[in-house]
Order: sequence, then structure tokens, then C-alpha cells
Amino acid sequence: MALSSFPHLVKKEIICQLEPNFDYDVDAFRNETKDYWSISDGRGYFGWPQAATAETGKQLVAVRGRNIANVILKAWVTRE
Amino acid sequence: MIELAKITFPEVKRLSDGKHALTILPVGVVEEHGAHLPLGMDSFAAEVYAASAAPHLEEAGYEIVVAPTINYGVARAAIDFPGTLSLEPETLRSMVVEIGRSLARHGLNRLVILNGHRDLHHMKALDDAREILVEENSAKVLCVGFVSDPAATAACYRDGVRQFYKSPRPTAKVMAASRKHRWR
Repeated sequence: MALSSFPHLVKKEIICQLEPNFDYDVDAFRNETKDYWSISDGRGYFGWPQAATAETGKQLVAVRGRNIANVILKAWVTRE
Repeated sequence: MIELAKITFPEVKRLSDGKHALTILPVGVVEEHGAHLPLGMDSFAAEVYAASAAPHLEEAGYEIVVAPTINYGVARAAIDFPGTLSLEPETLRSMVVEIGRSLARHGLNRLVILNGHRDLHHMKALDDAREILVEENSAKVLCVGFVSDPAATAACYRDGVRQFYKSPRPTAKVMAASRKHRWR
């Protein structure tokens, strides 16, 4: 989504140097029982940066925006 | 969508009198996200999602006011990375409570806290702030985005998203490039 929404802040020349990182302890990540440095082996990211595209980011933003609105509307209709 | 910091006080009065204002408070953090992404990633994401959600809420009859983003949060887990900044949870909680009280004082008493940062202590601080504001009847408050309840987070960020990924799981080639696979 960064490539879609604030591409000027993304270091594209670095992305091509980044290996995919699926090498982490999922439970430690979710439960924060280890710090990010040790979980990510100092890389600071998870997943596959080279697989990201601006188009996918644009679609993600649209879907998540709609999801968030739906969650709000559902809660507010219930409460008001 | 109206940005609170860019309007005047009479406009706030109009919004308050209209009774349809819904204020979104984006919350992020200053934290590393890899060597390719900016430290403000989560704050920027919260702002982007607020802007994306706004038209849907306006269609439902709300006037959407976006308050200035809280750019600082709790990020203890990443504090060893240069540039990561972390508040104590109580500090974040107090900030949100005091902002919520101020908004409510001026009649903007329908508040959505849209959080872009996944951290258990950070999310708990936002939950606690919501609870305080609700208990003292300051405002109607809802936390969305990354929240303590995983199902609520999924409803915001995961539903309908998987279809955009060509491969929901990494391929063998990708996994080989990732040194010690412990994906579960």
C-alpha cells in the first residue's frame, strides 16, 4: 500500500535487494514474546517486498476502507 | 471529509450543531518497517484508510471529520532499530482520552480511533482510553484497524483481501530464499 499511497517515501532501489522473509516465529510475533530485531534477524520486515505492487496496494486500500466503514456502521447502528 | 486542523472554529460549531459529525482519530507510531519503508508507515496507513473509509460513511449520512494523527505510540518491541520511538502505554492512553474529552466538549462526541500499528501494549492503551471515555459518558467511541480483538482486526484488514494475492502462500522458490523456515 505504500507503493500506491506514498510511493515517494519507498526506497525502490532497496526493495530489489531484499530477500523474502518468512523465517520467523509466528507465535512470538503475534504474542510479542520476542523483540522484532531477533524475530526478523535484524531485517525488520516480514513477507516478500518484491511481490508488492502499487495496483495491489490500491485495491487493498479500497477494500480495507470499505471494511472499516462497515465495521463502524454496524457498531453505530447497534448503539444509536 | 473535513480535516479538523484545516477548518475554523465556526465550522466546528456547525458540525456540532448538525449532529451528524463522526470524528476519526488516526493513530500510528514512529517505527521501523524494513530498510525500504518510512518510519511513519503505520501513521500514514491510518490516514490512508481513514480517507478510504470516509466516502462510505458519508454515504450513510455522517459528516466525517479527521482529527490530526497521533504519530507516536508504543513500540517497545522494535526499539532496538534506529529511529523507532516509543511512548509508555499510559502516555498514549492519556493523549487519546484528553483528545476525546476535548472533542466531546465541543460537541464532537462520536469518535472512531483508527489504529495502524500492531502492538499489544499500544492496542491495549487505545482500548483503555476508549473504556475511560465511554465510562465517563464523554463520547461514543469505537476502536478500529488493529485492535486487541483479533476478529475485529480481521474484519477491518483481512476480509476480502486474500483474493488480491496471486499466491496466498510463498512458493517453494521463495521459501528456499528465506533461510530458516518456521512458517506455521
